[in-house]
Amino acid sequence: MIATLPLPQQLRLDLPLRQDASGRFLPWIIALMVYLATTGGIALIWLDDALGNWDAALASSLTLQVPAETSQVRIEMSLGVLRQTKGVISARLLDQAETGKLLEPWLGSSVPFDTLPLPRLIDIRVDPKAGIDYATLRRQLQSVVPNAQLDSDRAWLEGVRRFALRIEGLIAVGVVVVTLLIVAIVVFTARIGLAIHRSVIELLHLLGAQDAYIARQFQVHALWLGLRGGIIGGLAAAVTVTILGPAGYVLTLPVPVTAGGILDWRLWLLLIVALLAAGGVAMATARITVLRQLARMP
Amino acid sequence: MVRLENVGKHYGTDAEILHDVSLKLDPGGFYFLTGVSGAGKTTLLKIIYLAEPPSRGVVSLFDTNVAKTDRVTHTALRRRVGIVFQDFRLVEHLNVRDNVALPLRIAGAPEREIRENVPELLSWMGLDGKLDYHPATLSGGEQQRVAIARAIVRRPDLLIADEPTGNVDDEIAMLLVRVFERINKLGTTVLVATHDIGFARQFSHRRFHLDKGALSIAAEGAPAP
Repeated sequence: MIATLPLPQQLRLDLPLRQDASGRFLPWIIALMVYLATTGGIALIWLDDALGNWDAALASSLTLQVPAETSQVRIEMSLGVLRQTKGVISARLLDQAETGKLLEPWLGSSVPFDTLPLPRLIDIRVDPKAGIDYATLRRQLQSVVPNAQLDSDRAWLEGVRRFALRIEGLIAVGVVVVTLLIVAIVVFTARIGLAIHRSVIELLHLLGAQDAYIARQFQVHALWLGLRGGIIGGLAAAVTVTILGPAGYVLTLPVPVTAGGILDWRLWLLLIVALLAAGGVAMATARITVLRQLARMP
Repeated sequence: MVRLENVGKHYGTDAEILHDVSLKLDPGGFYFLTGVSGAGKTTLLKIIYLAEPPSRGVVSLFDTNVAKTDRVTHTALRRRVGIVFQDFRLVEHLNVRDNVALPLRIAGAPEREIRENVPELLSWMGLDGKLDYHPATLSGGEQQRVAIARAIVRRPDLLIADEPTGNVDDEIAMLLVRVFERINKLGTTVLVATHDIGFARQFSHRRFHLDKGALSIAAEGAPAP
């Protein structure tokens, strides 16, 4: 088992740190932390991908819906407003047949659409990078046609985006908390190690060992434990992604939302970063803790 | 080499263990420190090898006033001192070879040098074939020789031995002193603490005597047989 792998002999330790109980429980705790952080990170990537997909699909097209009773003059005025707006590439009024075709899935093909009071639809193509001020545009259009409705999908997307940003924030906070927990556990473990091995540490001091020499023993041990925990947590996260990834969808939405699977290179980058971070955080924390404690010794 | 001036030591609010101790060890000298158990010998040795700071007075090691130096300098000074502890203080999870190699590794000696010198020294100490043994599997005498080997492996300028003859018979004690004398002949200053005043008197080496924390220079002992 990875969690119980011994430290390579080349990384010689004068202190019997390998015999400490910390060597048994610390990798598992770090593994859990790395699993939480990594799956959180993967969720972040999936969420970001989903937002990107929705944004790309919805950002370049809009629809203006005007009531059926709107006069042709006001419709033409609306088209004029749209065509004069910077960032609008085209604005085209759909005829009754095109509108009916859009409604066919709900109303069927046998309905005489030309007899129904269907709202008129204007298909608008926009440049997504133009930064159109939709609130102003909406006001301008409603001043021409009071009950005109512009692109309710974008408003919905904005709401989803705000919600997703909050989720992303929560995940980021979770990753920070997990990192702090690893730091706290390693500090606790290093202090226990210093207390347990105080007599050997004193001996090393009397034999002329510098603080850095003693700290190196702890940091090498912590690095090894951190890497072992990172490998276990990372592998568990990879298994989770393998199970969830091919599901192919997360929510039923107007635009398909897919979750990247085990072949997504970003997953592997995330796993490598999490692994190195687990080892690095454990090592740096142990070094700083031990050096600070040793500085208090005579 | 070592100079103490009016050194006093007490722990917390307890009474002083050492009172106005002054002594001087010259380079290349061989000294005994005698005194009954509880006289303060180990405390005095700890002050000399920088394990304890004095409560007052001046401690100078290798012409350096230790009160005016930092931890890094203390480390450098400690590397010039070899210590044989009363309880040996061998590292239990390390074998004999690694215990003796410890001061060399701490000093950053190359592994090649360690591989060559450590077995040679252990052979000189009569510990052939014990290199891979752990301290717990050795006899008390063997552990003591490992402790001595560790103390001298780096050719220290000063060798301090705390009661090395305390738990061995007279014959072994005599052999140990002969070992220290051979090390002394190589230029190392030697300070041996013992409660056995009669034993120390058998040698012509200079003696300091501690009595209830006060140090005196003892009369010369009999010349060595």
